[in-house]
Amino acid sequence: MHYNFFIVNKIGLLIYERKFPGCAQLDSSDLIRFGATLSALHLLSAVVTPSGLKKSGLKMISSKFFKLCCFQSPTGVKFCLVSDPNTTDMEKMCKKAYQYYSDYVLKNPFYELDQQIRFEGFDREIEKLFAIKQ
Amino acid sequence: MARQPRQAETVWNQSEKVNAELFAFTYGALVVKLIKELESLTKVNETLEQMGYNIGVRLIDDFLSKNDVNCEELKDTADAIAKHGFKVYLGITCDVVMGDDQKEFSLIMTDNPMTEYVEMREGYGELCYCNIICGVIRGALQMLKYESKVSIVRDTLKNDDCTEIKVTILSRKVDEYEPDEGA
Repeated sequence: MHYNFFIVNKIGLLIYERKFPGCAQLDSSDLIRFGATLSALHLLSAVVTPSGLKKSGLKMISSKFFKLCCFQSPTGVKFCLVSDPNTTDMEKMCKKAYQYYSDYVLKNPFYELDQQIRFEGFDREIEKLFAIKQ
Repeated sequence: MARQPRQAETVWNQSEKVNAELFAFTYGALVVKLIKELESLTKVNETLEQMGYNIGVRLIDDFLSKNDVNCEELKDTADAIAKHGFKVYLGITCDVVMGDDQKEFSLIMTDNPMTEYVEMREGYGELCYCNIICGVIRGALQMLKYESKVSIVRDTLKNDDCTEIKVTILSRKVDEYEPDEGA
């Protein structure tokens, strides 16, 4: 089961957010804070990575109550999925979401880079993507 | 390494195609329209490059989300552009010639679907017909934090034996946490 899905742009602004049934109630300032915190965590986790390992940044937070998966595209856009602890293949789903982002968002000539995403086509694909496993 | 070209082949085979002539004509019409509307060929070159740049900054995510390539080192990036990028979007591949100082590389194209029916007229020597490609490469590299300068140095339309696109990397910015002085 999935709780939330977020997309954070390369400067740490939340540009897309999707709630699924059972998620925590977050208001708009919580969401802004979330985007900024996630970016900072990502950067810092790369700094504290022991030497000799690949500094990939934050990838997964696992707890008894939830799992948070963060996939960062090479261009710096972060796709973040919060699900229940038993979910598998979360990174794969984030990568799929990246494909939809490149198709339904970036290829739309009316989308301005780094701005909020409000497109029905993208919403539809995201719903379909995360509904399969629910 | 043998696995990689095959993968670009797969993406190419799976993607939807447009008629090559329609593509070549549309681009040709665009270039001619620009020449008519803008006062100088330098401006036309600049405009084509800027259009390409705007395409590149978006196209790069499409490319990276569908191709499993490594863009960490410059050599890999150059290979990704030449063997994957050109294959997926234009159906051709280029040869890569790396510069000595790891700051530049050249892409050698022998075949280009965009220029198939093009013969340059006299007095158009300054025009870089395919400058849009330079823009696309610059835009795409920009999103990977490479600041670059891309230009066409040899052109089959100008009676050279191949088209050479030269990419010079000016700088690379990587996001990193920088601790305060003395911390």
